[in-house]
Amino acid sequence: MPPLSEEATTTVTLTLELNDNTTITKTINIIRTAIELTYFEETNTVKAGYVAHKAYLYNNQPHNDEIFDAYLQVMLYRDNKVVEYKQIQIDDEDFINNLEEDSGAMESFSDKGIEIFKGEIEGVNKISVFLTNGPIDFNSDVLPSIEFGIGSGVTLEWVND
Amino acid sequence: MKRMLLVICSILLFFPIYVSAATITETSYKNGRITIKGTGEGELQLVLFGLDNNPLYLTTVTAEDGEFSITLPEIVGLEPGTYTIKVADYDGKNVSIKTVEVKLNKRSINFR
Repeated sequence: MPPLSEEATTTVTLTLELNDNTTITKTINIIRTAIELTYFEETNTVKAGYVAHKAYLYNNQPHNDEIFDAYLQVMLYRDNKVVEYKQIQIDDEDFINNLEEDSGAMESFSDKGIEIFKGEIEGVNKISVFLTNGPIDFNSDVLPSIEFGIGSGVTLEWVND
Repeated sequence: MKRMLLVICSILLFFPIYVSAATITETSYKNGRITIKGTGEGELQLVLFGLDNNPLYLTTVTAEDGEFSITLPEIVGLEPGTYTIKVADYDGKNVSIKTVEVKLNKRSINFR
């Protein structure tokens, strides 16, 4: 996949060779809504990048929390033991509404990056994150849909000095 | 006709219609870790809630051949009590709820 800053739609061309040695070529566009993580050693912080595809999420209409309410589900680990859980709502309304293209990225290494770990717990050396549509609410009859992350989520590990 | 109706009712009673929604069948706590077993299909999501009903852990698990089993990583600070686990489809629907009892680890002391 290309860097998040370049695009949020990846064009893939597939060529299939048939038994009679003829080929069929198809081009498909993979639309991404994704997150990526970056650890900043000098400040002991982690920022998340967020790719939002306005066409996919909002049918190119203005941001609307009732259609898609982006949340990061964040788990902090120390030596593979979970030490903290937090839900972070992504404040992306202005970002979405000001997109000139149908997609864009809040890059983790830019000012728009979402700070998800501020070094507040000593010894944390791993983080995993899911992107969900809405918060996890104990009293709700449903859980939010998972939009990105599989297994234990998007995971990043680092070595502490 | 009545006999046929009786047969159909018996079949429905003893052989319930198979529902593919995720269901937790068993939970346990051992050596500081929680294990959850259940049934379902495909990719499922699982949330462990704390005693204050805030989420403590989220993961996804794949049900293979209609069954899943997962042992969560150790969670620091788990106090004794009854914790709630919810399992749902990847899109958050068809939620199944079960609890797990977390107890203090027993320690044996040898007197000599």
